[in-house]
Amino acid sequence: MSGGQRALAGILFAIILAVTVDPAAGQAPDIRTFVHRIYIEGVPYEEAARFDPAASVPILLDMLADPKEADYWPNIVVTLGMLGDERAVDPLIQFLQQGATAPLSHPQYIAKSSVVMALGYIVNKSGSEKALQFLVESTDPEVWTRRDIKWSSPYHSTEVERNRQLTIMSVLGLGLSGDPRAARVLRSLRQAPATPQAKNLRAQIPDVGDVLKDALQANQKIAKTGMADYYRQRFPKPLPGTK
Amino acid sequence: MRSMPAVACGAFFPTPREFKSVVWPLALFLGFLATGSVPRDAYSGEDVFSASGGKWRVSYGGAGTWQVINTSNVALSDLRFGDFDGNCRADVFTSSGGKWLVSYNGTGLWQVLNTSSVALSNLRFGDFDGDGKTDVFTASGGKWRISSGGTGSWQVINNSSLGVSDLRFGDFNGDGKTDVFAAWGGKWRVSFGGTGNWQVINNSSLGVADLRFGDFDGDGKTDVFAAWGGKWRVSLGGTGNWQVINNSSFGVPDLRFGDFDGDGKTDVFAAWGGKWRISSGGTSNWKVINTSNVGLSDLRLGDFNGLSSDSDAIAHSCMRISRFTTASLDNATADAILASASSVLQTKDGPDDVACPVKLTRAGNVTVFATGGGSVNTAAQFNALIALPGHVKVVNQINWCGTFQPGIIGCSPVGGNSQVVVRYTANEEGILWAHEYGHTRGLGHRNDTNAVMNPFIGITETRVNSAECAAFRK
Repeated sequence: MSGGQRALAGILFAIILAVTVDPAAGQAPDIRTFVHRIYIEGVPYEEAARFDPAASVPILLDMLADPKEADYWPNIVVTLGMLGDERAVDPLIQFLQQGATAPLSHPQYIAKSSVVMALGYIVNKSGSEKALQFLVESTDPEVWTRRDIKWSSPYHSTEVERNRQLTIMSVLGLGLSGDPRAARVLRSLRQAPATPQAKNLRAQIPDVGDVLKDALQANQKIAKTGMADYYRQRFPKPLPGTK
Repeated sequence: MRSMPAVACGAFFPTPREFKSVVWPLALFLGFLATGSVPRDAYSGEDVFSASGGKWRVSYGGAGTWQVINTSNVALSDLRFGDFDGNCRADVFTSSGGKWLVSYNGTGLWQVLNTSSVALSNLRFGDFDGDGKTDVFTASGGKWRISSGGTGSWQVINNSSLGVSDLRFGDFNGDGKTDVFAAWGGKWRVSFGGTGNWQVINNSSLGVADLRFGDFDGDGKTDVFAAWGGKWRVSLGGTGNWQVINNSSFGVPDLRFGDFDGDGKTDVFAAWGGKWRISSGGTSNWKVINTSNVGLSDLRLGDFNGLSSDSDAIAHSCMRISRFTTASLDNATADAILASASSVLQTKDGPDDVACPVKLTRAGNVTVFATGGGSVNTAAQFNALIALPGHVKVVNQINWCGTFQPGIIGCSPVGGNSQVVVRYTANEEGILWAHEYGHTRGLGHRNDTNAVMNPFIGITETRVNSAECAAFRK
């Protein structure tokens, strides 16, 4: 292990402790309350995965279609993914691709761009072929133009920059899927000599190598021990004296 | 002697940026070059320092009554100032018997910082390596050298025949590192970080003796100040044309510079008729801030307590803040967030809460970085941000924090030096920053919907217990 790796390994990252119940209420929050919270390190996977998809997915899809819920769309998108219900695949893809040319607000942008990682969660739980195929096709940064996505990112000055970030997050989605089919795609994008697809990806995103490597590692870890364990391992140990 | 206040900067890299606004006051006082650089934080005003009768005195904010902070027989002319421990407070420096001595915060006993035979008159000060601690600079034998933090051995950083008397110092590109300024041949030139080749930044017949330096527009870059024809003029960033900012018969020898009103812009200070006066930003009329017969030659400026009137019980943490180029954050907003974070920690609002005396303040201006693409997608990108100078890095999107996860708004190594955050709901950003600051102080999460360290936040997540408070105050 290199010094840098040791240093990295020495860092305890502050990630969500398992919040299984709402201590104030003494019971689990309902799905609306759950997605209305502000999670500092992201929606807690284990808690989200406890909700009943049959009851929760329709509620969340309604909220995703309601502009009054726009501030919570990032959590709604991610929670839909963590529930792993294939019924959410088409609405999520539609949500990602729709929208006018005006720049999105911050939560709108975070929500839309997070769809591809949410699809990774769905692949993990349901094995959705459609979600997987969407992610695989999304490893080509030019696909976003072909999909005729019109909305503008508030943080990227050009469509090309927006497309790069969406593709990077799609690679992360393949990683989160923990799916062996996704792993094969990630390996093919990393292999030498590079395939034409990999050459294109590297040409458009020169620093994609780190993303592919980390995504493949995550994929293999999730495949081996499961998503819950993947997230559980990053929990910091509470200091003595804390609850 | 007053005990040293608790300071919460801990392992944080401190502020380098303050140099641009404080290097010159000492040069002006001494009538030659910048011989010291007094750190300041933007929260407080500049303090006024004097040494006479074996005592060091400070007028906090220039408006307070003299307070004795230490005893010493070292003459004022033999004192220099810098932030050698990086706590955003001015330390007092001198050289004696081949040793460099420092009194931390101006209140501590003299401690040996280093050994050196270089005369005090050949030393200058700045943060050339951008680590937030004052470095010692000297020039001899055609080489510029620095001692990092005043504790390191001399390192050659450049080759130049110009000696310290020909040089001035500031942060002309706003990168947090002290640059070296010189003027000859009708041109102003800068060596960025003291390591770069000379670059012509402007044409002017005025030499360094006619110039003073400050950040008069508050953009984080050092501006050049001059006075002639009854007018004060500024060249913004040293690259702009002269702009008249005020009418005054006072020339540069009669002026000093510092941010007395804490608005992030350099003010002009003068003393006459038994009164101290400032012109805010150099643009306003004179305002009397104090009455004193102590004149300019017997004064130095610096931020000796970080605040003007707080008691020692409060642990101060000065935080350098930066944002990605496309992220949104200005000084005023950063101050509001830090004030909110401080209030969250200080306010006891429940039976299991303690009023934790911690104050987070901004050091220098909010700076801009271009590292990464504004999104954290990998461990390498996160580590690159953490490695940047400063304590708070604002980005647009975080998708990695130990594991991949979309929608993260804050991530910090526990026990680390800095936090990465995304701008979010305005009335809860103070909680977010306090939460992440807690991680950097070594705190993990606490599953309590009223706790600052709860994994999710809302307006009620404002409480800290005594153990957490102790960590916040480290």
